Amino acid sequence: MIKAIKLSFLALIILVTGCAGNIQQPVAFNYSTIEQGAKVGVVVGPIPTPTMTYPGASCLLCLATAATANASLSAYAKTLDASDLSLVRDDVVASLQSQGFDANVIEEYEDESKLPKIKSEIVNSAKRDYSIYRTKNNVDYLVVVNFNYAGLTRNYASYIAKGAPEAKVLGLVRMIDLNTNMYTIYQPVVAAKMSEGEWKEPPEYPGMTNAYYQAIEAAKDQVKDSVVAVTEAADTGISPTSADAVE
Amino acid sequence: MKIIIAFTALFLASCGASTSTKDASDRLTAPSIEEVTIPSIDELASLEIVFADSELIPTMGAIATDPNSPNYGSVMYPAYSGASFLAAILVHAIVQGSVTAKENERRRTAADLVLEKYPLLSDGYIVEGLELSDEKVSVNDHDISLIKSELSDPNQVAGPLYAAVYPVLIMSQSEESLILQNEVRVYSVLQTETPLQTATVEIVRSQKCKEISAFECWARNDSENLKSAIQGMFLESIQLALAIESIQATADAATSETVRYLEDGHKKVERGQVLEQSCNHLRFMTLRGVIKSVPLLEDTCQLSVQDSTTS
Repeated sequence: MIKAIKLSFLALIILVTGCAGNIQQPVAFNYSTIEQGAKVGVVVGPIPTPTMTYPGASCLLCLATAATANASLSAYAKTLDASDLSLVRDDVVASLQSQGFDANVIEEYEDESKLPKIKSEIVNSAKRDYSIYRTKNNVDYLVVVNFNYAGLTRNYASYIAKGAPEAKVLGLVRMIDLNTNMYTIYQPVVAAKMSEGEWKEPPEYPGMTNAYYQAIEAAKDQVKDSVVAVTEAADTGISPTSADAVE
Repeated sequence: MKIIIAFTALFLASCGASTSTKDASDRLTAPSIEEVTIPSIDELASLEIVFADSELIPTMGAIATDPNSPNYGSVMYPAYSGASFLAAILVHAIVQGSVTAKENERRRTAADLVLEKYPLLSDGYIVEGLELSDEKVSVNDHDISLIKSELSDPNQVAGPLYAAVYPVLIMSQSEESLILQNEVRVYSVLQTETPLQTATVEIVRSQKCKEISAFECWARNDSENLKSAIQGMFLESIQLALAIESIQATADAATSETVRYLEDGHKKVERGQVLEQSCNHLRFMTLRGVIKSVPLLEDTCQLSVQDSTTS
């Protein structure tokens, strides 16, 4: 009996500590972490296919009800285009170049799930080994932009819709120092937009279409903003680019 | 029997005669539409403009919209029985409807406060302020003189066609943008119930002066800046609305793209078909079929002038 209690206690400790993994906190781009003229490669991961999801419709029957109720909009969501997202790499390169870095686009994206894992307790260390980019592309830093979701969502409370649908784009921007394998940027991207005015306008859904492309644009803007380096003067709201402009 | 047949024949003949007489009288008093050729707009020398309100153009402050995702809340309804659950939902719907209506009214009142310091706009813009007598608009390379109709009854309009206009002026909250929304319906005097063509146009004008506020900028020269902007916007809206057929053809040939422009001092993003773009201006058709004329985010006209001077 005592043995069983001990085992249960041990299992509980393993379970609790196992859940408490380190969550990567956002890292802002700082001039002190990267030298001027550094070679930076910019790569964008695969662009997701637009779709529609129903967060909160958690049971199978709820999901079926939600999907049926939104069948027309869901079918329309699949016709939307997310290819604009990949163009953000050119904006990122231009932004980095204007800040004095030797930035270039990397065409070939390496599947991250196939990169070697790295176990490190150091804060802001990357979980995979990205050095293959240094070997292949001769860069010191790598900016990886991933978009995980692009499409429409409608929140549900089981069977009941909690409001109008919204357009959403989710992603992540990371800059990795390929010499140390540390993050110099780690910024999640979350862009969500509602339809301005009426949303229920089948079959073309102009309001939702606008919202979707506004979300795409907002996501791209967030990516661009995340690669604008801040200095110690950034606390006063002066970025290096705006300082140059004043001069 | 003979009498019955004769009576029937007489009756039928009289009916036929009266019908044909009626048809003839109809033709004399009202010529059918098929017989009269309705001229196309670009054949006109002049066009009468009939205002929906002959005295004032309605004005309002732009309500600040936040298309960002709201935070949804959950509501739990008491459900002791099916009936009490439905009653709870009904009560909530009624209360929520009332709250929403009050909130919308509050937002409208708050938005309109921006107009208080503009005497020209606070109670509506006077139609008399628009000078159309010397103005012409070019539609498909054909000039048309505009005549402001003083008539309250469109049936008394002289020309073969006339345009009924429904303009609204909107001032943005930053006061940097003035927006004219204008629905223009062109009617034939022979057919005043159904418009021959309808177009909705939205013109955005942005004003930003160095070292002075947007209000001072609009109010310069005894508000001449504001007046000339409204005049220009109105004429542009008429010109675009009259050319809707050729604009629609251009839009149909173009593919949809994301357009970015300046409104209320910020970047605004919308999907549409680009019709025309200059160094500082963009015209496009929105997904809802509205023709928009908007300022670009960046005015490159100055740059091109500098370039040409330098070279």
